[in-house]
Amino acid sequence: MHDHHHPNPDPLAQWLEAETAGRETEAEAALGLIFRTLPQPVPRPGFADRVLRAALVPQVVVQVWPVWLRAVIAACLVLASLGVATLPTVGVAVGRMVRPAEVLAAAAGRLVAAFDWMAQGLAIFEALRGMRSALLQALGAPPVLVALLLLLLISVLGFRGLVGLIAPERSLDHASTTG
Amino acid sequence: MEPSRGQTPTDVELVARSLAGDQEAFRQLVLRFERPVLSVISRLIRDPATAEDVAQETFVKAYRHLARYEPEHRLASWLFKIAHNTAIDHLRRRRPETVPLETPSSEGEGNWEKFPAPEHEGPEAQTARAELARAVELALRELREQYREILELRFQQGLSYEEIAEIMGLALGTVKVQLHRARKQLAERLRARGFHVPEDRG
Repeated sequence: MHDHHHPNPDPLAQWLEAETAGRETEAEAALGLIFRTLPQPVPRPGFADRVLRAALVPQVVVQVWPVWLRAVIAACLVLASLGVATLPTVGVAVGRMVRPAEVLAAAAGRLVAAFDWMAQGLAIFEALRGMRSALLQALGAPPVLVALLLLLLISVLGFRGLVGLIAPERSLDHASTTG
Repeated sequence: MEPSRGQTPTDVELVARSLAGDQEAFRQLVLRFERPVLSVISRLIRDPATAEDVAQETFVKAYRHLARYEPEHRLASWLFKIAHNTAIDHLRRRRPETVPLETPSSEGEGNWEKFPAPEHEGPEAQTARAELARAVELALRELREQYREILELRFQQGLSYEEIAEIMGLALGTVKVQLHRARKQLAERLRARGFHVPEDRG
């Protein structure tokens, strides 16, 4: 049946032939027959009892948010929704109070204040430049550089550890609705 | 996978009894599905002891979330999905796993059932069946995890494309493509081991 001497080549030859010829349905059926001859692994004796023992161990329920925090969040949501409901009324009242001349004067005042702030910012920039020079000088010293690299390494390791700790197991939710 | 008729309780009945606190009912469910579940997991995790641990974790998760099972679906599919997710979680935590390719589990590692030989099958036929299974097992071991699992679900567990897509979290089209590729690769591996179609038939 095939050039490899084999005691019972028929199912395999049948499948390979169908596969080579591109006969999909036949190939699937033949491979199904072969798979049904494969042995299945058997758990060690007492598997079901071990499962039951493990399943009956009380679970430690980790409550992410305490009750009081959830109550506060709920209260905030209620207040926020009440606030949204009153927005149109407040908007109309504010609209009546505002005059264009006052708005323009206020905008001009803000513009001047902004330029003042930028001028102050330039002074701060000068101070930052000084700090940068000092830092560069410090980084030039090998002990400081080594200490910084060590800190960086510790941070990376710490971050990896944290990710490992908080990475949640894949949720059972998407396993619960399968068909 | 379908429960037998008559005296044997159905999967849904056993689930209902388990939910009502009947531990023996859940034990029966475990006994009913331990082999297929372990078989699926073993396609992803080759170490038999680890695969059994993951199977245990699968059933424990199933027990604790049994109320979420929807009886209109097959219990086997639900269990396979939990098994798939639990095994993938395990692989993500424990990579890499190294097991030699040329040592099939049927030869000493873990417990494997005897070949399901039909009645009145002679010793020669049984040997031939065992050799065929061994060849396929060895070829399967050379495939990537996803291909091994998809072939297992389709051909050993007899699931539909839709069920496989749901279990593996893949689109239906992807399942069909992957299954096709897996079959082709398995055939290539077997051909590489000396199994060929005779030219007068091919």
